[in-house]
Amino acid sequence: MGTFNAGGLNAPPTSIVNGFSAGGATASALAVEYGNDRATKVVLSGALTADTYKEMLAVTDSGILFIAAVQALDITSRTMGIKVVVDGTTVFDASCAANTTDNAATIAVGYNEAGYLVGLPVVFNSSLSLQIKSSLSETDKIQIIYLYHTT
Amino acid sequence: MEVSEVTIDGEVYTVTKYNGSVVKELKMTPAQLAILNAPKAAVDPLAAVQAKLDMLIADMTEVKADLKLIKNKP
Repeated sequence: MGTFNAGGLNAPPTSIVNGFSAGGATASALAVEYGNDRATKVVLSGALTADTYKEMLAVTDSGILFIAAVQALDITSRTMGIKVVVDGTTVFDASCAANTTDNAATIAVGYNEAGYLVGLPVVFNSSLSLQIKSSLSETDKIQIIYLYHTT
Repeated sequence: MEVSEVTIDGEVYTVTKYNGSVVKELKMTPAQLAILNAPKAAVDPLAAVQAKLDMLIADMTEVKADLKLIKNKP
């Protein structure tokens, strides 16, 4: 584990503020349905209960998260939420407005550049949890996209 | 490295332990993996812009033809 500088670029965040963090933003139009061929890790949601977070990834280690987003796989109207918990602290918890655009996403970490996700580093010292939810009870209609390193 | 599986709410998670690190992630079935590993069709992000440009060119052509008619009016 490295040395962490409180308040510095290598410190874990206490919050992530972006265009989605306030909740209710229009989902971000991604150019493609992400798959593992883009080198980001992509995991289908499995069975979801409406408006209930499901933990998709739990890491107990130190590391850096670069991308975390939840993407729609069809045009059914739904909100999509994503929660990022770093070292036990929820640093991002927000859903998009009801979305009917295929491939659109709620982005917690990273940003959309011309339809494609670009990573931004988010440090975690001891643990990371990524959770997603949909406003619908459904199976494999949304997916999580993430990219992280352990250190 | 130690890899095990746990079932939560009827779904299988893979738990990987290595050198003090523990990673738990939802395990994809072969059918789900086939979807995720399939090549995805690329979509041209400029396609919508191109369509608007084509419409603009068509409009300008129409305006040009109208102007020509007006200009040639006796």
